[in-house]
Amino acid sequence: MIDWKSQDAVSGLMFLAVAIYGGVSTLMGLDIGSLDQMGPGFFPLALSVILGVIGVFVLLGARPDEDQLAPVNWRAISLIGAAPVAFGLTVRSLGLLPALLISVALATLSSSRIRPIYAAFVIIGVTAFCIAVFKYGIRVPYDLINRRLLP
Amino acid sequence: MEIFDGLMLGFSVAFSPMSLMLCLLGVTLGTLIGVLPGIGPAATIAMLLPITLTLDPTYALIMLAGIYYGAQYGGSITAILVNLPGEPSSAVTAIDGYQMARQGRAGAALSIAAIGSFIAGTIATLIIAFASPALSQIALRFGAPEFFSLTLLGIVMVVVLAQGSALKGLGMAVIGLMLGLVGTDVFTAQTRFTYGINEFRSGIDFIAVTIGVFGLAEIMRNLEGNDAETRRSHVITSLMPTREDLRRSIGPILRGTGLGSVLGVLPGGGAFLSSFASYAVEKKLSKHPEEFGNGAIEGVAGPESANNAGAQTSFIPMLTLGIPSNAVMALMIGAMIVQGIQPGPRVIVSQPDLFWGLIVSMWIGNVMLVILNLPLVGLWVRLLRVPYSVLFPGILAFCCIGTFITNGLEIELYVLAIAGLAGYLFSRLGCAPAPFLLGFVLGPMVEEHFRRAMLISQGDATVFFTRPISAGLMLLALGLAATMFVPTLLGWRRKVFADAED
Repeated sequence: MIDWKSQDAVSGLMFLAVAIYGGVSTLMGLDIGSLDQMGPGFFPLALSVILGVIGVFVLLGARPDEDQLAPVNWRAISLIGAAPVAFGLTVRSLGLLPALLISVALATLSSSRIRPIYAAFVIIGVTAFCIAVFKYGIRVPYDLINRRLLP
Repeated sequence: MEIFDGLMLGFSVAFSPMSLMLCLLGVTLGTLIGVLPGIGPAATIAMLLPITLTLDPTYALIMLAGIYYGAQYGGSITAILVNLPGEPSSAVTAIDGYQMARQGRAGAALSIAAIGSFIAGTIATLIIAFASPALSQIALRFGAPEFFSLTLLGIVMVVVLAQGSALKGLGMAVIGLMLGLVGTDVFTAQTRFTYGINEFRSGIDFIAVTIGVFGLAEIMRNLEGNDAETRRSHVITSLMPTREDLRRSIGPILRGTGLGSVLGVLPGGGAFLSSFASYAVEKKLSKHPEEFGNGAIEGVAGPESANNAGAQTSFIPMLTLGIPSNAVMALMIGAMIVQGIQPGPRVIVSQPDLFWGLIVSMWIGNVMLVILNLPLVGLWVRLLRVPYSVLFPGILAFCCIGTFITNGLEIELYVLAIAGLAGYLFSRLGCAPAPFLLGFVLGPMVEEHFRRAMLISQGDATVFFTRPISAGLMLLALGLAATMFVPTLLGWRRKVFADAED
C-alpha cells in the first residue's frame, strides 16, 4: 500500500504531473515529426514519456519516510518568496533604494523572534551595504531613486 | 612541448596584476561566505556569479574558481570549529575535526586541513595540466552521436553516484532537461513553452534559476529550524601541528589526493564521494581504527585532501568535454555560456589563455588559501558568531540585486521567486537539486546533438550503437542505469554510504 504522504509518493506524483502537463501541451501545440525529420515537439514529448515512466516507478516504490521532517514555516516561505517579487515591482518604478528597503524588510519579518529595533538596524545596514557594493562598487546603471520621482 | 608552452602562457595570464587581484578577491570572498554556516559552495558561487559577469571571461572564471575553493575551505573551518558542515563533503571532516577542536586541538586540525588541501591542490593541478590537452584531442574527433552518448553517460553517472534516491535523481534530471527546452527551437525557429512571454524566447535565465534553487531555497530551509540559536566556537590556541601530527598525516594526504583526483573526474563523484571514500580507506588502513570518531588526525587529513583534489579534477570534464560533473561545474558552464564561450573540447584551442590561465591560477589560489587562511582564521571565527537573523536578509538582498543586474529584466526576479519555491519543494521531497541543474544546463545541448545525429543518420537510431566510441559510452550509460533497478546493487550502494558514516 502506498503511503500517500511520504516524500517518495509526492515526488512520484510531481513527476507524473510535470510529465502529463508537458506531454499534453506538446501534443496540442507542437509538431512532433518523425525520427528522420524531427519537429520541435519530438524531444519534449520523448522527455515527457520518460518522466512519466520514472514517475510511475517512484510512486510504486514509495516507502514511508525514515525521518520526521520539521514543520513547514509558511510565514518564512511566503515572505522570502514575496521579497524578489516586491523587488521586481519596485526597482524601476521607485528605484534601487526603496526596492532594497522593501525586500529586506520582508525578509526580516520572516523571522518571528527578531525585535523591531534590531530589525530596523538590519534593514538599514544591509541596504547600505548593498548600495555600497553595487551602486558605488560595481556601478550598476540603475537609479537609487527613480529620477522622475525627484523634483 | 605543447603543455610546457601552455603552462608558460598560463603563468603570464595568471600572474598579471588583474588576475592575481581577482584570484585573491575570489578566494577571500569564497572563504568569507563559505565560513557562514548553512551556505555551501554552490550557493556561494550562485550568489556571486552576477558580480563576475562584468569582467572579461578569463578573469571571471579565475575569480569563480577562486570562490569555489575558497568556499570549500571555508566550509572546512566551520565543520571543524562548530560542527556545522555547510555541505555534504565537509560533513566527513566534521566527524574527527570537531572532536579535535573539543580536545583543544582545533589549530592543528585547521593547519593539517590547509596543508593537505594545498598538497592535493598542487598535485591535482598538475594532473589537470597533463590530462586535459590529451582528452581534448580525443574529444575533438567526437561527432554529434558521441556527444549525445557522452552527455547521457554524464547525467546517468551523476544520478547513480550522488547521494539519495537514484530514481528520483533521474526524474529531477529529466525535469531539468525539459525546463532547458523552453525558448526558441534552434532547428525550426518555433517558440516552445514561452506562453507569449518575449523574455523566454532565448530560454529561461540560468542565473535566476540557480540562485533561486540554491540561494533562496537554502534560506527557506534554514528558517525551518531555530534561527535564534547561538553558535559557540572553540578557541584556537596554537596553529602548529606537532611533528607526530605531520608524520601521521602524510600518508592520508597522499592517498586522499590520489583517490580524490580519480573520483573527481567522474561525474557525480567530485568532492563529496571522494571525502567519504577517503575516510573509509583511512579507517580500514589505520592501526588504531578506534581513534576514528574521537579526533583522529588522519580523519581530517585524508578527506580534506581528497575533497580538494576532487574539487580540482572535476574541472577536467568541464574544460575538455563541456560536461559538468556536479552542480558547481554546471554553474561554471553556465557562466561560460552567458559570457559567449561555447564549452567543449574547442576551448583549449580557441581560448588558450583562458584555459591555461585558469589552470595556473588554480595553483596560485591554493597558495593564497594557505597564506591567507592560517593567519586570518581568528577573523573567520568571529564571522561565525554573526547571527543568522542578520545574515539571511543580506543574502536575500544579494540574490535579488544580483539576479536583476545580470540582464536588467524584472521578469527574472519572478523566475527567481518561483525557482526558490520549487527548490524548497524539491528539498522537502528529498529530490536532489544537482541533477536538475545539470539537466537544465545540458538540455539544449542534448537536444541539439540528438537531432543532429538523427539528421546525419537519416533517422536511424542505431547510429549511437554502430559508431564504436558512441557505442561504448552508450553501453556504459545503459549498464549504469540498469543498476538502479537491481536491488542487490542498490543495497551495495547504500552500504558504501552507510559504511563511511559509522
